[in-house]
Amino acid sequence: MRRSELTPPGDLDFNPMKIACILADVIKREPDVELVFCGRQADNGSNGQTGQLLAEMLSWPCFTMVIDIKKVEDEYQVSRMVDEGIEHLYLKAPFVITVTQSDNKLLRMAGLKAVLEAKKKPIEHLEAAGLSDFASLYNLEELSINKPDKHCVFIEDKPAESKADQLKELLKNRGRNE
Amino acid sequence: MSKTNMRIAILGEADRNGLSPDTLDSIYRVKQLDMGSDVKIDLLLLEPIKEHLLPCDSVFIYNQISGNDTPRKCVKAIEDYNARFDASMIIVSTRQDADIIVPGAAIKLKTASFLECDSIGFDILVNKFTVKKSVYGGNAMAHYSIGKPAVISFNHSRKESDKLKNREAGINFMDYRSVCDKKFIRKCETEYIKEQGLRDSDFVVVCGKGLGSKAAVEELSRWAERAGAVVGGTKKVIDHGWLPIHQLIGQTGNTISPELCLVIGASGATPFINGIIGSEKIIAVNNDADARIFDYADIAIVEDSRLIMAGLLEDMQLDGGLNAEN
Repeated sequence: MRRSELTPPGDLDFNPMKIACILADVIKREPDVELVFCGRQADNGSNGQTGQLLAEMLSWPCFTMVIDIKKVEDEYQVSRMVDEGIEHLYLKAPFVITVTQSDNKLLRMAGLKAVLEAKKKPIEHLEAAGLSDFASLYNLEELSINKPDKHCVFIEDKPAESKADQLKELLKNRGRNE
Repeated sequence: MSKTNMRIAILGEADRNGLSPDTLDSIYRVKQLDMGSDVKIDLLLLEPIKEHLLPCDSVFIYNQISGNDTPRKCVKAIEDYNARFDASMIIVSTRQDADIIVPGAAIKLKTASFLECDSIGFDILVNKFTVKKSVYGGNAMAHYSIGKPAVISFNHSRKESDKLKNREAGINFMDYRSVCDKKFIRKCETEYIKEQGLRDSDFVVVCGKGLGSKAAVEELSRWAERAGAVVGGTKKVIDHGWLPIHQLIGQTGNTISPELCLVIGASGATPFINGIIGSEKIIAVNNDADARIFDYADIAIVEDSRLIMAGLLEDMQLDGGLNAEN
């Protein structure tokens, strides 16, 4: 296993295109890379498309909403969520996946020994380059905070039973307080 | 961006009942734009449509692209359309794979892309489109101005397409052939899961971790089924394995917009709120009067969720529940 660090040129927030450009440039220089994992969001700004853009730049297929992946001999078994259910795909590399959470599976945490061993390995510093003319396609003009404008009616200071009864009435009237 | 001859293309979907709700919603949002001049709305479809009375100006049918790679077929259709007509904006309204089609088309057209936008606008003074989109897990709203025609998709949590008026649309069968096959897939098996109807339901019950156990979630689900509601869960409920992943409500799961949303035992984390914010009415039950969910609810019941649930279930045991009463 290699540890590599890529120092980005400037601020990459809200710009998945730049992030994908930089990653694509590095991956193209690494012939052994056959699989790229991205988080579903994979950048600061919730754009949710870094992986897909990267795949398009590499001309690799991309699979989103992936919840499981296994390597069996020379192929990968990838499970992803689709509208109808779960799709189990048997793929040949290379490809990009964007992973999302799956039920009843929590992130495997590295043990102390593994963390200490990893810290001893040298870090390779990679040169970030390859920013193309995608840089100025849009501007982030403003960031605002959404404040709710609802006036909530509180039902409190009553016994639980009477609150449950009131809820039943509300549900019968589809939430209208009549 | 020139104001004259503006064309906005919407890559849509249709079935035997007509255009899909998400496609109609996208058309409605475009029609709400104040652009200071007429704008033509073109609809791009991969399959022919029977109906000619539609809420758009023209329909372009790309049914000569063969193969099983639907996202790639959509990208090809967008590429061809844009080469012919030079759209001012391209909107993807497919229910499946919009997250692949939007960036894919943007790279081909060398333009920007935005997924799940909350709204779109047009600044007449500077002749630029603007896009608003939830960021930082829904904690903030980013306002972008777009210099070149972009490819976007909407977050369809609020659908307001009822007021659309139909007219005779020009139907064009496009003479464009291509083959898009998923050669990189050796085998594909689909594990079908019974459609919950979360996105289309009028009444949704959302279970939060405050319910305390899988058994409680299952009991509430049975009650909800008899009450005619569809059940979803928060991320914590899914993480605990109390409900399957496809019933997740929130930014990374289903975004819902029912007439009535009953939230029991959820505190109101931002990504979850993003999933229910389109609901017409929200009733929330939580024992903490300061819970964040109450900032977004119409009616707040401050009580232990399990006690309220017991009250609901009691009714079901006595007389068959809400359906019997109604």
